[in-house]
Amino acid sequence: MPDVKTYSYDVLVIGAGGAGLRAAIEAANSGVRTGVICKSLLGKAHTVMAEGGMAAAMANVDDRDNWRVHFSDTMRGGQYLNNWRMAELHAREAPDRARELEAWGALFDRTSDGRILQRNFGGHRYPRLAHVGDRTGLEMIRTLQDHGIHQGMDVHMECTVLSILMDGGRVAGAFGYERNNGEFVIWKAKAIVMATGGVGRAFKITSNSWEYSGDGQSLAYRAGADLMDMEFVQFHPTGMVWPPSVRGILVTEGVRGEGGILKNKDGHRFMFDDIPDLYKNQTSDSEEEGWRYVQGDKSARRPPELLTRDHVARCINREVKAGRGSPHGGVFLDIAWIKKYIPKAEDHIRKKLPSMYHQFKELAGIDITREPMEVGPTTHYIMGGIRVDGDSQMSTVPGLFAAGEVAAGLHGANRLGGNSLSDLLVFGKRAGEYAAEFARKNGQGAVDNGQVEAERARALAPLERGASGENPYAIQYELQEKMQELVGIVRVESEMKEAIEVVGRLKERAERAGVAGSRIYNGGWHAAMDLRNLLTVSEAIARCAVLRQESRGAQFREDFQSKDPEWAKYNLITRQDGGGMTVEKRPIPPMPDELKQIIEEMK
Amino acid sequence: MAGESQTYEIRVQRGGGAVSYSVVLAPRMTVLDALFIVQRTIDSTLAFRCACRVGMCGTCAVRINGRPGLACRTRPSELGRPAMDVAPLAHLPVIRDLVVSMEPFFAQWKRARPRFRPKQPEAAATAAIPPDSEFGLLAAGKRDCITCGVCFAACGVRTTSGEYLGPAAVNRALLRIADPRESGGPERLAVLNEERGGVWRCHTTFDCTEMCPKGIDLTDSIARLKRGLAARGRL
Repeated sequence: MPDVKTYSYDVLVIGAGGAGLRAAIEAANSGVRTGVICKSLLGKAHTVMAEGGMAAAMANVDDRDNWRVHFSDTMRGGQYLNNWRMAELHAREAPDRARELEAWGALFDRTSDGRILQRNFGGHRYPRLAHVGDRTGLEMIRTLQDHGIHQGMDVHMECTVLSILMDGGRVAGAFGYERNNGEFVIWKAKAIVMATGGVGRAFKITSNSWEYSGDGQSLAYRAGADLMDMEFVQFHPTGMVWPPSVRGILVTEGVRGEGGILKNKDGHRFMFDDIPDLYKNQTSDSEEEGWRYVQGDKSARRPPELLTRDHVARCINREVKAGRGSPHGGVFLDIAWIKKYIPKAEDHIRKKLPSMYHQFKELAGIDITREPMEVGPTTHYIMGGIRVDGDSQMSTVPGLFAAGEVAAGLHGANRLGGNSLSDLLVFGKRAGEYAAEFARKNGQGAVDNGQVEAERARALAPLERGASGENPYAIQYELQEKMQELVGIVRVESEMKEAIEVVGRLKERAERAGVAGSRIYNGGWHAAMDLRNLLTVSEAIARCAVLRQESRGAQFREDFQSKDPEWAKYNLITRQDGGGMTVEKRPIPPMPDELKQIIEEMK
Repeated sequence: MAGESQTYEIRVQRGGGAVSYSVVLAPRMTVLDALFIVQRTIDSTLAFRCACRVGMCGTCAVRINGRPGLACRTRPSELGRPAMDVAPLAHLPVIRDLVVSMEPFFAQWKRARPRFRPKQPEAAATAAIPPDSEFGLLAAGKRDCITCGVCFAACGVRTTSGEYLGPAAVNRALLRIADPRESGGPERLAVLNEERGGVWRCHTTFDCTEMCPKGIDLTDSIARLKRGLAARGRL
């Protein structure tokens, strides 16, 4: 085909975060020709932002820990919607993956006798997170990158993948373009590993890297793969809201744990206004008592700022929606006020919250020992994604594998902190291994020139329309606003149905998108190409969230506030049917007795 | 919430010349915010890179008023005047506007043999490396490199020599050589010891250390290797 470059691989990995690099290393190691495509430069993936650590039951700090405890913790966190096979494999294999990373040069923090140190984290029964200070993701990426660079894999940096090429029902490669020069590329492949991460950019406020636009979920969906549990999106009640470039970056719960209070624009501490009956006798009713609690007084009750995450987020949402928010659409989180009780409060804050102090100082120019922070709920992680086989990570499309955040199953309805980095390595390795095996057993599928031609024409259309077409950024902004407002942390049927209508209208506008300029490193063009992916995942999230009429894990429904045992039996499957999107319930396969027994024992 | 919005003139190097834009920035906005405002409201064809927004990925490095730095970590209000010049990083080929090819940087990184070569792979994870040991302390201060290329662009030697490894690659090599779990490797030392491309080209002007957004003392890393190589009689 004229003006289209072609490369040929056995295994093609799309995405170069922790999962993609681990998959590529595994495939290349097994001797198959391996190519990696990434959207940004190598080593810049969202994984570098991961701070907390990697969960692995190595029992270095508490010898009662083992894979069974980790398995049951993960299942409990996921409210038992998890793919239990993945939860089992993950718990069993994470320790080997952590140690292997050290054999490749990573250096986790150490115990005094030199073993890998592990720390506590919410939901994990024992100290379990191997970490490198608060920059574990960076160490992981750099280690995998330096290990992988010399393994003979080809890396195609700064490429956008537009479509998975299909030969009948199985994959034959991928089609896309190089951002640097706008040239179109066909990557032929016998097997593909999707490792593109999450969907944060579908929301206005997100902690995710700005490359997180749901590409993998959408590409797989269009190739005919099942998506699963797309309604489960993890939000965090406090993210930064200002300045715009850092909007959504996490503000640790530790700020509230040290006495931080939430106030609206009138200076009113609104959390006292709404304390659920269930928690009334555990929650303080005065400022003075709440302060004693955070100072460690066991006779005091906790301040309302430390109510459940969902409740805190709901209260923040209500203040903002009622017009009582801060100037940039959040509320105020004030830790400086404790000077009322502590003489040297400024030193105390810097000592107790060093990373938050620096985060606000450096990114927002705010001194949290003197001024309040502006915060609001932020989109952090999607548990749902491509449905895969627990052992091989193959999707429902032969030859298409998925690992990491883009895949569904391990985390069920909610993810435990620390289970993400281990997920990347455990299932990145498995996906690479099984993709290589698939490639060895199957020949190269034929590339359908008609499909390539159609995608090429589609990609060029916005450039041909030029600046007179719909502005892709405007479409993206409207989607982000509406998803944040209507399918965010507090959900109700009427609003989500409105969101589905909005997505429908935006899809039509996206078909008319136009951009000025050439194909050479044109951000407007990239944004126009991302729209289809953002709209697809947004629609899937909204449709699944409407259908699941209960509150469970990360999903809170204002109109169905409790957990429904009936819903514990199903995952939700999203697939393309004709031109439209269908969502249906799929019974969770029965768990083997051995695993059931573990859960019973750990209760 | 002190302060008011202010109008800034941002002069962006685009191709042969500078193009001037006027943007209104609220207090605490960053150079990256300013670039987004230009791209989203004035000229959508302006090309620049960004990914994480918080100084962790090292994608948005540019030259601001002549100094290399991260756009996401630089605030116009702290530059002292209501105008700023933004240009692509030096010593790297320009692809378009502020986007440069990082190939020369990564090629040098690779030349420094960053791959870990353990003495005993199985034992690496159990090697006792207390945080206060020599390597524990060294690693803590030097392993935060985000491969942004700022040191590479700041380095005066790179102006005259395309062969020089540059500070980031040398720092990576040091972390490997100093690691007690590493088996070393004569090839890496030979590269560092090269007359034209190795550590001896460094003139110790501290530009890399001064500009590094992660505060890594790169000049010290280079000096340590010079001392080490000298002690071995330059191999």
